[in-house]
Amino acid sequence: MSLAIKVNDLSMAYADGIEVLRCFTHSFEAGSFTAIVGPSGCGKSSLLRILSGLQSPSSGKIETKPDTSIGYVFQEPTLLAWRTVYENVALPLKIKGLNQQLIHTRVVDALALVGLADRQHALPRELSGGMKMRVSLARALAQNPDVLFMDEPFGALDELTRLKLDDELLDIWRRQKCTILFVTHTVSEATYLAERVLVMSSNGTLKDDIKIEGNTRNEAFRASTAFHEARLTITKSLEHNEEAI
Amino acid sequence: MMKFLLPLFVGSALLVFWEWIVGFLGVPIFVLPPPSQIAFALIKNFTSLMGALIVTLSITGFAYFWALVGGVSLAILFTRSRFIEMSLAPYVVTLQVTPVVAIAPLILIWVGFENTNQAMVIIAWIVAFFPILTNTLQGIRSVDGSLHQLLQLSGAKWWQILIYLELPAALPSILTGAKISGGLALIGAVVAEFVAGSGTSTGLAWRIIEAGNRLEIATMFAALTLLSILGIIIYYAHNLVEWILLRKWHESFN
Repeated sequence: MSLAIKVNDLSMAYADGIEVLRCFTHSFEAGSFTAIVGPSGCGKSSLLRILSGLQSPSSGKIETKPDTSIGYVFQEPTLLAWRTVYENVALPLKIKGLNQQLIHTRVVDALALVGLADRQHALPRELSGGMKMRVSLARALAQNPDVLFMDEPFGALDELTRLKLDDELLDIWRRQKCTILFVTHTVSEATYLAERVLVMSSNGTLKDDIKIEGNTRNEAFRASTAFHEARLTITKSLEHNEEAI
Repeated sequence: MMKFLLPLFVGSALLVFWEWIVGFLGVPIFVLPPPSQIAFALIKNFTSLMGALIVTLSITGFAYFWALVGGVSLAILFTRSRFIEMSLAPYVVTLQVTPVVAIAPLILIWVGFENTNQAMVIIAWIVAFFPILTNTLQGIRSVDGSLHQLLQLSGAKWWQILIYLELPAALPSILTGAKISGGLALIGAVVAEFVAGSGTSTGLAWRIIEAGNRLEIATMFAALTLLSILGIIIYYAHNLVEWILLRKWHESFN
C-alpha cells in the first residue's frame, strides 16, 4: 500500500518554550482511517495543523505525495453566517479559481453525500448543530481531498447525532477512499471509526499505535468483544499516561 | 403600536403644556416662544431655512462619506501591516483627542476663507471618522481564527480574505461605527459653521446664531427643530440599513 503522509521526527515547541510535539514519527497509509487520542494539550491538534500546512514545525520532516489535496474539518462548524449552505461549501472552490460549472457539480454532490441536498439555500443559523457540522464536512469533501483532517469534529454534538454522523462518515470514507486523520477525545468513537488508533502521551510523544481488528462497522461490532477489548487497551494506554504525570 | 403611540402622546402633551404655561406665566416671546410661534416662524422662513438645511446636510454628508471611506480604508491598512499601524496610530489618536474647535481656526486659515465649505467638511470629517476606524479595526480583529485558517488552507490571497471574510464579518461593527459617525458628522458640521462665522456660512447652525443675535428666538427654535429632525433621520436611516443588511444572518436580529 502506498503512503499518504510520512512523518519523521516531528517536534513542535512554541516561542514560550512549551513543547507540544516531541519526535513524532509515523506513516499514514493512503486510504487509511487513523484516529488520534490523547490527553488535552498533548499536541493532537497541533499535529493536524502542522500536517495540513497551517503551521510550521520546529523540526522534523513531512513527506506527502505531490499535489495532495486536503480537506479540514474544525472543532466548530466554522461556517460564514452571511453565506448560504451552498455558498459556504462553494467558497474554497471559488477561491481556488474553479469554474462555475465544476463548482456547482462538486457542491451539489458533496451536499447530497451528507444528506443536505434540500437545504442548499438555508443560512447557517437556520440549521441544527448536527446539520452545521454536516455542511462543514461537505465543504471539506467538495474539495475532493486525498487527505481529510478532522479535529474533534463531532465533540460538541449530542451522543445520538454523533453516532449517526460517525456512521455517515465511515460510509463516505469507504466511497471516497480518502485518507482520514481523526482527532477525538472519545475512546469509543476512535475505536469504532478507525483502523488504527494512535495514543499520544501528555509530553507530546507517540505512545502507542493500536490496530483495530475487523472491517465491519455496525451495531454488531459495537457489541463485539473485539470492540471492547480494543477500547480497553486504548483506555489503559491513556490511563497509564495519566499516572506518569 | 405602543412603541409609537406612547412617545407621540408624551410629545403632544408636552407641547400643549408648553403652549399653555408660556401664556399663563406671560413669558416674553424672546425668552421662550410658544410652539405655535415656532411653527409660524418655520412656515414664514421655510424657503430660507430649507436652503440652510441643505447647506448643513451637504457638509454633514460629505464629511460622513469621507469618514466612511477614510475610516474603513485606514482600518484595512492597519490590519494589513503592523508596521504602518505602529507608525501612524499615535498621530491618528492625537488628531482625535485634540479638541476640534481648537484646530478649526487653523484649518480655516489653511484651506482659505474663499473655500469655507471645504474647511467645514474637513472639520466635520475629523470629528466623524474616528469611530468608524476603531469599530472597523475591532470588527476585523475579532474574526474567528478558525475561519482565517479555513481560507488560508484554500490558498486565499489577502484581498480574498478581506472580501470574503473580514469585511462581511466586520460589517456589524462597521455599521455601529457609521451610526455614531453619522451623528458626529452633524455635530462637526454645526461646530464648523459656528467657527466659520459670519458671512461665509449659510447653514442651519449659522442661522441659529444669527437669529439669536436678532432675538428672533422663534426662528432659532425652528432651525433647532430642523437640526434635531436631521439627526433623527440620520440615526434611523442607519437602523434601516442595518436591518436590510444584517437581519437575515446576524444574531442581533434573532
